[in-house]
Amino acid sequence: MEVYINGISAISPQKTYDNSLFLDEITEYSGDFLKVFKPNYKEFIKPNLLRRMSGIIRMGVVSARMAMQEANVENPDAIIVGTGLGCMTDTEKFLSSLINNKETFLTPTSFIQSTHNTVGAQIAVMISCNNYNMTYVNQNIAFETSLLDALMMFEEGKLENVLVGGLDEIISEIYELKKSINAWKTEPATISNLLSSKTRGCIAGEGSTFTVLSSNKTEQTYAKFIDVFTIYKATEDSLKAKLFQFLEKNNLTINDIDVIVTGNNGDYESDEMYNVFTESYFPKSTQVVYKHLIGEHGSASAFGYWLAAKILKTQTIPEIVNYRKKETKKIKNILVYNFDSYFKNNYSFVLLQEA
Amino acid sequence: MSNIYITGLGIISAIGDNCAQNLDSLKKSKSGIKAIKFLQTIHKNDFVSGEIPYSNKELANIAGIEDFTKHSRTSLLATIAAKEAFKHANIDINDGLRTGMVSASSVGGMDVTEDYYLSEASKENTNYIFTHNANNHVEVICDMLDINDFSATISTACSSSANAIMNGARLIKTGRLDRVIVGGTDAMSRFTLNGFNTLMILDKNLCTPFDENRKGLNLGEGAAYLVIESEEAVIKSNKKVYAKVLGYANANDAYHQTASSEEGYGATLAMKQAIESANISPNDISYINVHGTGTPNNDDSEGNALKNIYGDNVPPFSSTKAFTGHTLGAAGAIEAVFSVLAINENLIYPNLNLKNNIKKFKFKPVTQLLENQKVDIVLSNSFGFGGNNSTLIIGKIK
Repeated sequence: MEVYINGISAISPQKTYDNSLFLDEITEYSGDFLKVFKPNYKEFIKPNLLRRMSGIIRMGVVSARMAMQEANVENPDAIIVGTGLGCMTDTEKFLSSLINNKETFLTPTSFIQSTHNTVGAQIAVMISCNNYNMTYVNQNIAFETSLLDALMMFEEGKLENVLVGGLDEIISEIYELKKSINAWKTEPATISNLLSSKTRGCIAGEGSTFTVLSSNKTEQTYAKFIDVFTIYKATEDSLKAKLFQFLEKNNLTINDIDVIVTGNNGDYESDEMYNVFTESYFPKSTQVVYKHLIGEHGSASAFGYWLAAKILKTQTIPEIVNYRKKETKKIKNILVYNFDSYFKNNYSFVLLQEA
Repeated sequence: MSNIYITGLGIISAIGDNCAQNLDSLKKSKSGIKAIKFLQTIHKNDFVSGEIPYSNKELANIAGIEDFTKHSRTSLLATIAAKEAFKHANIDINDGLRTGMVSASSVGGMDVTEDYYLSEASKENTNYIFTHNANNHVEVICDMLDINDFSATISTACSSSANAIMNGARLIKTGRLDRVIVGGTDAMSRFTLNGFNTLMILDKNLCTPFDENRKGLNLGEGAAYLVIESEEAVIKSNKKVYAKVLGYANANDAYHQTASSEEGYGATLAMKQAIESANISPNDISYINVHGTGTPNNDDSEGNALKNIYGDNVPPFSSTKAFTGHTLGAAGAIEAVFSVLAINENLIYPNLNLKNNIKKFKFKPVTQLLENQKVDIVLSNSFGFGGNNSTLIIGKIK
């Protein structure tokens, strides 16, 4: 049983929603946190509906539609969404009204839209999809848990297409709260110097990446989705053991990994961990990074997945993400590795292969 | 197709601190819905609820947690139930079996966040930023039980913990885990109380599920966990087993964000597909624990779904939400625990507070406790906002 990536759409702080481009135009940071570079949402959602949608709902619904359009799928067999923090705009709106108005004069819209499964639900309503619908909310591995669920579905039965997404939004209130617990960089950074920073903290971003996984290979196919695993807590040894087990299960050794995509985000402590890990176990692989372009959030690693798929399809690695070049002939296997840099937990590995 | 065995149960709800107490209340038709005591809200005297009659400090004592101020109420409830399930299943975490946790919550630590956000106190105390997330309780429990490997958190409104049970079963069936602690938790909060109030679906008095004149739901809180294990794991550890997870399904109504379709399309699909997945026929079901929140919309929609499958001959059914209130993310798991108890104790629970049956349906819920029943297979429904409809089928060990 093979699982193919037939559609993918990333709305991110870079102009990535246009799949004909591949990080051709880069937008430098401005402001405290990175907001998405928006496509024309009106092309996908009627204005009267759009009006009521928060940022995360817009980017989620639109990137989902774009991915389905690319894969030529109208009714997926399942819709599985992962989000770290969920619908922050509406949660904050309802919560602050609740507090400021002392539980009076409240309206339902923001309460309804604050539930974590709102995006998955709205996609289902829009396309009249009565099939399996799920939302995972386990922080930075929610997207990978969604991928795992999809993989299990393919293993369990004959289905054709599954829509999987990972998304998170950043709003100033959340930025400020996390600032108070030292999550972010305190000194100004640029794309080119972020990953050589010697301080803790990262840059806040947001984004939505949706993908269509299929049992059929088509001309659109980007790559094969082979496998995924996540671990809550690990020591260096237990992580190594799990990684080797994972590769072995998929008939691979570390030498077969041509590219490793890591979640370096400017937090020097975790970046060091990524780099030491890569040096130790993947000395011959090219190391690719992406969070200097899109910032950090609960679903940032979904962008890493997007990047891996694009690299496999185009067989090119844009300079701006090429962190440690090694000689690469054909790119066949890519491993996407991520963990939570603040807590040093929630590790994930996603394995993609040329189709 | 490997069997999924239920080897442990844990629960805390408005009708009891543990399994035994919950069972006792169910047998005595003793509801836990009453005046709100602990939640600080201007609506204190406006609504009744299935609030658990303990302060956070008292909950922490029961949970064996030293500093109650470091945890959300949601997390305290979850810890109590998870510990009971884990102990009941006699788990030795170091026995080499691959153990994971899949839990669910709809508002996570909002009960604390709403006390601190925008307040003066938040300048000193930032702990609520850590306890806020829906998966915080999972980390607390995994740390306590030494589960380091796989953990996942689901949030699909009122079907959340039913989905957690389903996900855990699938992880075992696809060979990734040997045993999983599955369930969910949700505590009362001003956020949800007021949120539901804006939707005008709360009943100021005791809710009346499946009653012709029903007015709405009563909110509740609680947590429940089940330990599920593979056949191999059970054989290897010679474990006592209480029931089997026979089948499950997840379908979407795709109709509206909060309202269910009149014809109960999503609900019908979920029940049908769950029955098919269990390889049984609808008439093999001994008892249906309906979602039955008591809102005009749900009971109508769910009733239509029952009719779609059974016509006028619906198996014995009842809603237990008049006992516990609607426990949101915990509901699926709480009702799964009730289902296992029904099977092992040969009981069918009463649908409390019913005065007038819904006119358009020829079938009626069970209104008195039925004992010495042959309860072989139970179907349990959990339907949530966002059209998320999930159904579980639990069966007797024969």
